[in-house]
Amino acid sequence: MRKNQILYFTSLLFTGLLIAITSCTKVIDIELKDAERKYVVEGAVYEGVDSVLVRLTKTNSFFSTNTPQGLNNGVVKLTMPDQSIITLNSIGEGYYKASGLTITPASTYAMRVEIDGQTFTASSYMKPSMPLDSLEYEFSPGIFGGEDGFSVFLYFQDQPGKDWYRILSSVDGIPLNKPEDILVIDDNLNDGNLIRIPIFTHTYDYGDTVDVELQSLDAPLYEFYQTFAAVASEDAGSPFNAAPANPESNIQGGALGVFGAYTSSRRTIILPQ
Amino acid sequence: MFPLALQHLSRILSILTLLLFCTSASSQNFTITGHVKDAANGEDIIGAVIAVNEIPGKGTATNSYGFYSLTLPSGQYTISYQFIGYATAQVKVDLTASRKVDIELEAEGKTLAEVEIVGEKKDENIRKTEMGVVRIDPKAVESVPVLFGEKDIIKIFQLTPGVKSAGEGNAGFYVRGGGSDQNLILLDEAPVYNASHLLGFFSVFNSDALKDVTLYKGGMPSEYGGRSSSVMDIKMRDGNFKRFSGTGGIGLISSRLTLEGPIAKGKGSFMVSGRRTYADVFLKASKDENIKKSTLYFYDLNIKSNYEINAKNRIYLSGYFGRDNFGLADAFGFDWGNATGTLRWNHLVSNRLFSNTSLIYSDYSYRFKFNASGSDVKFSSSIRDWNIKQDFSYFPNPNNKIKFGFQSIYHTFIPGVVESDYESFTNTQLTNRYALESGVYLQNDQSITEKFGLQYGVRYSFFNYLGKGKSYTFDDKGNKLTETTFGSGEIIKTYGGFEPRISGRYELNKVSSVKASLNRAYQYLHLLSNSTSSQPTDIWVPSSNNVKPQSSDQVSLGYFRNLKDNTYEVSVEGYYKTMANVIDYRNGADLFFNDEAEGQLVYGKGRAYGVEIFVRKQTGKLTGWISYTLSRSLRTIDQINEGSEYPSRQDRIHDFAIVGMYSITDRLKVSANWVYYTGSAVTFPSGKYQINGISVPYYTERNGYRMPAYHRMDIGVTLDNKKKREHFHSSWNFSVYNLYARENAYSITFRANADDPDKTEAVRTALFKLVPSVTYNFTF
Repeated sequence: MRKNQILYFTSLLFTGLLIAITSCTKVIDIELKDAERKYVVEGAVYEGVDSVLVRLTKTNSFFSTNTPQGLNNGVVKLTMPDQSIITLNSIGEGYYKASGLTITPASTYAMRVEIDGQTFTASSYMKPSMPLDSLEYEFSPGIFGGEDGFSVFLYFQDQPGKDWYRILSSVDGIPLNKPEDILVIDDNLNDGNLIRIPIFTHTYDYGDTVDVELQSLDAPLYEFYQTFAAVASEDAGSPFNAAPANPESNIQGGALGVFGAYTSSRRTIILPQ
Repeated sequence: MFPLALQHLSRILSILTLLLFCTSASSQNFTITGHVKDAANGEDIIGAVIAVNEIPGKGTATNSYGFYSLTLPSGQYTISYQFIGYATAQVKVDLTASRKVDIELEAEGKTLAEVEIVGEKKDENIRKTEMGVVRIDPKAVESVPVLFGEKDIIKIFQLTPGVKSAGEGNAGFYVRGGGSDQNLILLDEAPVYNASHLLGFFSVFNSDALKDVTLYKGGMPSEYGGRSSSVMDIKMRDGNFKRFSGTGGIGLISSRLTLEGPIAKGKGSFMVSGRRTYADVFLKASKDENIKKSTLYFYDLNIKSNYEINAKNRIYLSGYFGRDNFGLADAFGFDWGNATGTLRWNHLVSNRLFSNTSLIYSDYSYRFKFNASGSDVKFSSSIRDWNIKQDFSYFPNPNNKIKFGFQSIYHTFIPGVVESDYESFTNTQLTNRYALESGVYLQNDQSITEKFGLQYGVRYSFFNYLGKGKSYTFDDKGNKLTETTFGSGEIIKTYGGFEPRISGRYELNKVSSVKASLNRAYQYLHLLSNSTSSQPTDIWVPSSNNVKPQSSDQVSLGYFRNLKDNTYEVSVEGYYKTMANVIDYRNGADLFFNDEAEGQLVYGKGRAYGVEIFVRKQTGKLTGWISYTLSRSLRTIDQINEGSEYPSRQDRIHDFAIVGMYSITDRLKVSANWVYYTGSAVTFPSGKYQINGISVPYYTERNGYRMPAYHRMDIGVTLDNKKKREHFHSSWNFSVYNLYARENAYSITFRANADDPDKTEAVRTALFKLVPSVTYNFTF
């Protein structure tokens, strides 16, 4: 985890310095190739939610302003931990849904998508429940003319063995869902410890009601979110980053996207006025 | 390893003994030895040519320490000593016994070019066997316009063919399609692991402290090894032997001061040279407390001293210390830098056998610390070398110059230590790594006939990856399979190989020659960098059971010609190079603070080819050069680009530079340069999609696009002030970088339009528009 923070500060330093010395940015026109359309699959099951939702779309040309078109002609099935197979219903806009499921942690879920003669599969292991113990806030003074605000810290007890986490938050009910809000961590440097970690991707404001969700991930999901955050970021392609590439998808068969089984634990904190 | 080294050495010695017998068959030979020095300050002159007027085509040249040895049959000779920029000295010698002739050369007047790429006396470029070599006298850099007026030798090399800048604001460079981590940069024989200051805008080499810089792009002599692409051999000045003197300058970014003088009644000399930036002085003027408490500077300190114990023994001690320091109040601090030290002992074993023994220390480290909610987190990483090097030069006769020796470097890698008083934090350290890198070599530079010369040699390099440490094995996906622990000094993995180095020259006539060379080089250390630019936090790792040594094989062919009585020198060189075990990274590779980072690496091969054209004018009021390179650099790695060959980052098809200097009067010089190159290969998206409501670019191929072409013009004016006192001399240098303020793309990134998030736009960042600067320089 610490390394993300270190890298974050380093890149902040670099970026700040560069902007300080230089520089001029300009929106320009460039021509990009229009790649052959690819299928995109998004699917998830969550601890504590009795339904599964999957979406099928396709890639678009890069500068296109259209929102992706949902594909409703697919057949989507979910294999439950007891090997029973559930067929999802197409509900329009490319979404497929099944409800009334019993989702249990510490078990594997698999998905199978058939569309236009192609088959995509994925499976994901839902880790054992990982309760988010508590939240705490700390005053964070703005530096370099930034606004004062608060850092929100999570407390939870890591279990021995390799673990991967994703942290999501929302402010006054509105999810923080920008590429720079994606926060996944591993426990390489504090395995088995009581972990106290700030959501260093965001500084919260006075009076915010902050809902925080801690998800425990399997390794392929962690890999996906890590590479997804890098490629979705506006910095992708800057000389301070690696050559960009598609996120490491856990979908087999040539589609982009991700299928995940997530544990979920939530807490809320209200920041002072 | 040492027994092995000795075994190789004894083999080399026995070959040499054979040669010795062959060459000393005629008994009436005598030897002239000595040093060639600059008459003004007593500095040794490297590469001065010693010719025998009575025997055209016979002669020798001074070595790195200004020493020469010339063996001739008894007789009467006129020996001439020549070096560009100096008046030729002629000495009549009645050779009836071996003798010592030390020569001091007087600098020529103003007739010669103020700026030149040095080294060659007339036609020397035709007659030398070496090819793929660029030599620059740092003094020559002075009037070439540069960014912020900071003289920078590496920036000048980037204007010569086959050498590409790693991008604006980057001290890294690419040689003949190789990566910037494949260049061995030696400062007085000590490897410099990170040659950049301030994120790469400046190099760590302070021109005032340097005597000679030579870049070997192709025909790398056997005495060098360790990097697969090139060697940049930088030699520091020894210091003035004649009188106490100084050089300095005050610029926009930094100020410099060099002091030098004789010690022990001219038996030796010293030189101390420092440079420091002062941007942070302005930070103190800020009203913001945080800015006031911030630091932002770098400094360099070069020191050197030498002492002649007696006619046969001389010692040198040199060192370099440099560091960059950034700090933002108490929030965080970041510093990095190199330290090197070299202790050398020149010993004349006999008047034909010159020995140099060097003990070298080299260190690169970076540290950062930051404060998060009252707790400090500190991180540090370093690489440290102890290096012993023994070189012999043997001069059996004017037709052969033999060099042999060995080298052994003990590397300590400390990839990372994290300390914190943070409550849920365990202080941790990555596993240190150790390695021994060694080499033995033998080389002969031979004139076979007057027209035909060969430089041939072989280097045998070997590498031991040593304990105490751990070795890992990984599956195809980079997941760890096994872990083995090794004790201190235990050999984990050994590599080795022969590196043949052969160059040949054939003179077609007095003014033209063809040359060819064949080269192999191994590289046992690898730089891990998870960014497309070089950064202070990039880490060096040794070859291991997973990481195989990189290697490159190069063939090159060249045509050299002088026109109009040496007014113009023209060369055309072509090369083809193959590279093995080049390194890239898995998608999303996590290299930082990862003991198992080796699992994140993928390996493949590369090839590079090109043609380099170089035309330069060295004399007259107008001097300068034109450089053009047509080249490709390609990689094939199974895990990248679906295994198809793709252009490497350094693949730029056209690269053009023109540099011109003109002396209007004795005191006024103007200079200008213009560069143009094809944009670097870059990865852009060819589609997009949405995940979790976030727009994501879709990539189809690695480096399938090009950045826009880069071009820029710089101009400079140097005005010498009138001389008021005997030794004091000063000048003003004015320059403008990027004269026509072109916004060259430093990066192109993509983002959602602020008003319409469904719309994506491309954003170009340009670094430097027109940058004027002024520098005041003085010598006394």
